[in-house]
Amino acid sequence: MNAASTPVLLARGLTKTYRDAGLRELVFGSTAPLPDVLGPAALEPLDLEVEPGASLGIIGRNGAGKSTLLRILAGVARPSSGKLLVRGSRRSLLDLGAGFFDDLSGHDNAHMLLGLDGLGSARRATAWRGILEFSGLGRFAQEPVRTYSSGMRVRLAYAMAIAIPCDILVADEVLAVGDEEFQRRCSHHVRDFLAAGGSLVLASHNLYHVEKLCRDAIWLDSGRVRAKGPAREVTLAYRAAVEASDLPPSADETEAGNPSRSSMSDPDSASKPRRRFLLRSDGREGARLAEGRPVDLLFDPPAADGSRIEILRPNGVCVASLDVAGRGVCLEALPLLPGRYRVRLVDSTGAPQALGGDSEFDCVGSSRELGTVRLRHSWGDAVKSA
Amino acid sequence: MSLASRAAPVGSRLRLLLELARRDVRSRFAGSRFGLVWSLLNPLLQIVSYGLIFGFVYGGAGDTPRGVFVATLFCGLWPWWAFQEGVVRGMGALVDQAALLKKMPIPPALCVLSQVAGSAVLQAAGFLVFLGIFTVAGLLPASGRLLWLPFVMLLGALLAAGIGLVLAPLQLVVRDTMHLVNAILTLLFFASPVLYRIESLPAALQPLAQLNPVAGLIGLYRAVVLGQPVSWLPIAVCIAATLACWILGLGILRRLGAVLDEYW
Repeated sequence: MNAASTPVLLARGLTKTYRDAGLRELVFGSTAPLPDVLGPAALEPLDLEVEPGASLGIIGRNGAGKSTLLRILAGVARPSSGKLLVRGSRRSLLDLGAGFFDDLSGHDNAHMLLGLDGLGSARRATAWRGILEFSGLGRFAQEPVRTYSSGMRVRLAYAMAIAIPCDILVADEVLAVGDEEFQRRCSHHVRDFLAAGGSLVLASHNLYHVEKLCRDAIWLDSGRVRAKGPAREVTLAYRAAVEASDLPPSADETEAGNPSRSSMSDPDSASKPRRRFLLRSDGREGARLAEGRPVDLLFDPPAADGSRIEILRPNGVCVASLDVAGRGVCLEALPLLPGRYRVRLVDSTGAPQALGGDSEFDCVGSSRELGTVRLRHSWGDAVKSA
Repeated sequence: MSLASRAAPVGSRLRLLLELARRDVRSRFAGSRFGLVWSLLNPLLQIVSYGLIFGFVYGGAGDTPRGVFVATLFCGLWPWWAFQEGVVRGMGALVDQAALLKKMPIPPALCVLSQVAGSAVLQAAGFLVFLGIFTVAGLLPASGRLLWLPFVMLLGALLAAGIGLVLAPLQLVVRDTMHLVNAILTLLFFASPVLYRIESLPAALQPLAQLNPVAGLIGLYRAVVLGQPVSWLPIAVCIAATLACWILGLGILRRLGAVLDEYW
């Protein structure tokens, strides 16, 4: 247990630059960064460490560098610069189903690939029994792989990848394979693997998986680390940014990246004083409101009769719209789930008010539920009458 | 610790090489019922065809019995085929194995070597089958010299592997490599003493022909199988070329390691 502090994966200053290594480079052997052969950096200097039993999620949009990072961590690509230390055995679940020979049976393919992992025939036979059981291939195991459905191929590949015990698992979006039953089995396996002290690096677009399986997360954006920390916080920030970028282009989009800024400071409003919002959580002012705690949404100057205050998701979907009069509303317990929200005043027709003005806030909390609103609930098969 | 950590990779790399080669051999016969038969039939037809054309049409056999003439041709043709196939397979190794390289951390050099090794094993098996037939039929002399054969075959495989190590990264990056090399191989076939002996060339060309590494290889085969006199210069050239290609090829792979993975 004491060894738990020594990372199994330690990266310092990893970078990767893809370049079209033309003939010239091969002939002259220059790996020095020639300005005209140097492409954009796929990965800018990146540090990370993964401890035994820890799990790291990698999230980000397509092309953000997730796969590049995974390939480096899995050892199938080399960083352009930087250092990567690996302690222990690692296996990767990349390109599942690649490397099969269509004309050979699942059994023969598995045996050949297991051989590449350095397993002798006795250990291969043991591993094969586990593969057969986990993949559920049954009689198809002896059929050529070309007769397999895509799900069966992936099941076989996954079962093979986990058949050999390892310390570090590098996986790319692979928990979303196969049918639901198989996905559940994969999730169970990963959890058992982590509980047994294994380490996982998982790149996924499925934030739910990242939140459920990973302790920490890295958010990559154009090859740069945009956020790093506890998985839940990173996915929250990522969700907020994605939702914000869904907004139709408008004046207030420029504020999306800046939570605490209210419209007061908008340079356009120089001629007219705009409405100012004051947000309070537990009596403290600020743009971070605690989930489930008393909250005041106040504004100045006061709203006209018939006004409504709206709480919106950053993508413009309205969560709630309340009648207001005077200087604001007070909520007994903020029923929102953690995430970023917007508040604004509209008139009775729903049009933004002449004075305009809106504000953003982050709802913070530790709730792991998904969605927007927290519903009070109990578990059971019948509603208990109060 | 440094000793152990150095010894272990060598052993495991050797195992990996064997597994990759086995995989290569199996993949070539996957789904084919008479795989090995086909790989013998084509050379047989070619040897017979060359024998007919040179022995009967051009009368190249002279006063040698025709069967012996065909067996002599075989001693030049087969080493050439083995060499050519080794070069071509080695050259295409990184492209062919991209699916595997993407998935597992396999040293690219092993990838190249395994494909050459796989082809060398098959070619050696084919050579031995024909050699056995020709010897039993009395067309080739049986002799203790044949014990040198494994070393000669190994040299051929090492030469092809060295060239493959140089060409494989080139082919991965610039796919024109293959076309250019195929053209060069066609020329080299006629520039090498496959269908003739160096001594039959005009005297002015002979020194030049001796600088061809393939000439050394074929000379060795003929020395071992047919008992022809050994000419040492081409053999020295062959060994030197093998070494040079290995050093160059491994150097390229080492140097471009972080660039090549972009292509798989």
